[in-house]
Amino acid sequence: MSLQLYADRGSKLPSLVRNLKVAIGASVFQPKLKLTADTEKEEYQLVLIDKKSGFELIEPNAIVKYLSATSTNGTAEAFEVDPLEATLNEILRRRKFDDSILPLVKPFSKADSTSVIQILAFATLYPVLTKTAHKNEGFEGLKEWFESFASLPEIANGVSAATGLTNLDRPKEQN
Amino acid sequence: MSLTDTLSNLKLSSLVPNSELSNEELALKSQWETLTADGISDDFITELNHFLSDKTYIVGEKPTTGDLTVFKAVFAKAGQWSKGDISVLAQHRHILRWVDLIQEEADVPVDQRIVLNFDSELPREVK
Repeated sequence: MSLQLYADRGSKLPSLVRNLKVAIGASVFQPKLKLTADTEKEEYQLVLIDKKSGFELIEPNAIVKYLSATSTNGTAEAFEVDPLEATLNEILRRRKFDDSILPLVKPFSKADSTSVIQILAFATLYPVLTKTAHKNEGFEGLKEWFESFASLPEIANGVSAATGLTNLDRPKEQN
Repeated sequence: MSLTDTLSNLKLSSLVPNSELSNEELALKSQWETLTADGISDDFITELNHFLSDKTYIVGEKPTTGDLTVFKAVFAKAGQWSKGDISVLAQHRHILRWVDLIQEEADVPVDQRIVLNFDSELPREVK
């Protein structure tokens, strides 16, 4: 395989979200492609590189769509823009990972690992919906979809790859 | 017509539709449209300038609506750079070359175009 996928080596939540998107995208659409840390470079940027052609992508949503479109049964429909995508991008841009973002995302009727928009939504909601202390009251439908999506083996593999490569700053302890 | 009206009505004479783009071209178009919507940061400018160093358009060799999206977002900044000193021109040389191409192909009125001095002797680029 000529594709290489290198992780965002930042230590904040947006880096985790970006790594989750591409690691899950790789796990679902191109299982032989693994997210790795490029220790030879000082740059901390996420990147998909085709070593054969030199083709590069640095934006995670485009990477997930490309991996979907070029998968065995993939089509160019993967590049169609879902209206929810702009909302998810705005959450990531504002770095606002708390319960206030939950009303912005309606629950999906069924967990579908091959849905690009579900991968992007899962990764963006991950920092909020995995907080153990949260009950996420009023958002049970969303939580149910999230947990159902998380339990799919290919998603669990992607989560494991991303969390294993993202070293988040630990919040300061409060007295 | 104001510059705002000009930019909102911008059309390229020879746009290539999505149906004629490869997966790689569609991915690049998607990438730069998303990054543009995220805001024009210094990192974005650096990445875009580097990206355009060996490409004619946003997806490579074909003009698409992606060029118009990014052009509208960087046009005002490019106008400021075009009036800067040699170091500013050199720092943004590939974006400025691309802006000049798009404003020509989109037929931006002459009095609203960014004027570039192609006789400027820019320092050799260190890659």
